[in-house]
Amino acid sequence: MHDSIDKTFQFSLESLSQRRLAIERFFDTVQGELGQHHLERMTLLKMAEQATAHMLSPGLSIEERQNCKDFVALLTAQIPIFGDKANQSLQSLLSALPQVKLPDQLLLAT
Amino acid sequence: MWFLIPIAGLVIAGIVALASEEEVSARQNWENKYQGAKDEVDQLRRDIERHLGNNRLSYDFYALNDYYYASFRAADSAYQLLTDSRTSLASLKRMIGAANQKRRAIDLQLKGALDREVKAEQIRELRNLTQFRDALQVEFNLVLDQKRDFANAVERLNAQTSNIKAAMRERCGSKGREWYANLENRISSRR
Repeated sequence: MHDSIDKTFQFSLESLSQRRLAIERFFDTVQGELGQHHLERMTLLKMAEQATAHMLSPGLSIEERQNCKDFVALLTAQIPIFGDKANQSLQSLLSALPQVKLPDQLLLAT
Repeated sequence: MWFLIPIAGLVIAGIVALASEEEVSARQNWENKYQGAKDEVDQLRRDIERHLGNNRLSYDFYALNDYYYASFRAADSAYQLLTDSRTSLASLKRMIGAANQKRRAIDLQLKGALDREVKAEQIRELRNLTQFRDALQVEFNLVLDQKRDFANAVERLNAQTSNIKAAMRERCGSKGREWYANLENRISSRR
């Protein structure tokens, strides 16, 4: 009887282990994407700030100023898009969280 | 032959008594064996329950451990995204501030005596800057909403991680309590 229990137990642990590896790989992938988005977002912000400073500096023609303004608008419009992408990645992380039977307060509020 | 009747009676009574004695002894024997078997089965059942219980505690420990680290990593990611949102907001705020400063400067210039053509150009510039600032404000508001969502996610995930930590201590036996104590030690040594 103990042998049978132990075999079932070992099988359950093996399943847990497989699931753990799958989740870790998935988390690594998504966190890699998030890291990439972070770098892109930071670069974009820096460029937008520099372009804004240039746009507001004296001695520019109206055309140059307008070009700068359009460029900054193009860059800053990407910032919320990055946020949306990040949110999607976070949601996929949350959906990959292991399903464990726990009391209600441990479950994620949706 | 009538005198044989009491003798037969005695013989029968003797046989019955002997049979009863055997029966009582067999019954006693059976009851002893039954009790022994019952005790053995009870012991076995307790062993199995204990074994199952230990396995269950171990399984809960590993399952909750996985859940804890996954939850921790998700909370960490959410926190990074919250930080990115804050950085974005600070950056947008600086750009809005710079645009407003320029607008104020132009406003001041417009109050002074200016050539008509220059004045028209400054007014156009002011209008452009206002549009620029308003567009930035739209992006700022969008990122602000996202920041709130990330802040909520961080709060929720931190609470969940903390609950799992408590469950590890309370529901996974000595292994869970040891895990909890080690984790707390690591946390306090990092502070």
